[in-house]
Amino acid sequence: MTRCHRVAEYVWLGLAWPPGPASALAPGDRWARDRAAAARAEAAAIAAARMAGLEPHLCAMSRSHTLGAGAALVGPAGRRLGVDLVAVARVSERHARTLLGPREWAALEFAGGARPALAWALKEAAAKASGDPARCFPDGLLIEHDDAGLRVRIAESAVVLRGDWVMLEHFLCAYTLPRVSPRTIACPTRCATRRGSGSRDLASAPITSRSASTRDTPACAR
Amino acid sequence: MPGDTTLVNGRSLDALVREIVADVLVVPVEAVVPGVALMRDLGAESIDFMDLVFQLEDALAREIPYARWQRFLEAQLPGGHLADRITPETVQAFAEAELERA
Repeated sequence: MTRCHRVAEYVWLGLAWPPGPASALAPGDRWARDRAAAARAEAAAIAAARMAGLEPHLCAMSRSHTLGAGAALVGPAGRRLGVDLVAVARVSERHARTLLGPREWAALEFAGGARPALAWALKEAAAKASGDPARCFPDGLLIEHDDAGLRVRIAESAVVLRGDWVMLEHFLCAYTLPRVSPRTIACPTRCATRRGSGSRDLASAPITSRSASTRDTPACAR
Repeated sequence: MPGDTTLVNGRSLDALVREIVADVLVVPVEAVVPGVALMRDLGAESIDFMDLVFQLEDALAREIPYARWQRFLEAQLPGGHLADRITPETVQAFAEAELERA
């Protein structure tokens, strides 16, 4: 099963997941199955980007996969994009304690039982977006949350990313994007003629968005 | 690994690492052979490596910040593309480095 969701201006989140519980596979086959799921998610997001006039060769992309499910975040080249997908039950409080300082733990209180999984996926996503995951994960990434939403600060570079997350059955998918006002984003190629609306048919995924901040109108359509 | 003589509580570090890897990845210990790629061949995911560090912490009875594993990988396996490159030997070398810290 595959869906695509527009999560910001010219940014699409593709998701692919198995119709039922992941079947038991030989260890070596899990890798191929999971990568195939990520490839399906990527294809869905690329298709939505194409319909909005964004050519694949001008796209930035981040991918993640786990347990037969995949996620891909696609947007204009040059943007710091990061996505991570994790089974909620897979992340324990011990993981979270390793990942988070006390202020970060408090900042994610709103996530309830999904807090450890959100901590993991958000830091993984931000690490990918940083371009140097081995260097900054986990201590070089600081999660913050207030009325404006989730943010991840990359300590070394002073870059701040916007974070968000969705639930997909028993998976949690977190992603990070640049904190750019929609009004400041230049139209990518061809959007003047395609108006960026092609993703709407694909944006009806049965996922639970945790933010109302994904309803931006494309700048070129205003 | 072959020739290894490091002992932890009377057990060889080689055997300990193989058991830990097998336990974390839920694979038979016989599948954890030298050179096997933990991600591509045994299905390891990024969170599994944090569990490996937890189990090493418990087995070696010392605190091991996860960032040290990240830095170890960066130093030992520069250039990314880790799917084929993290093996039981990598984990054992990390465990040995941690033991030498004492």
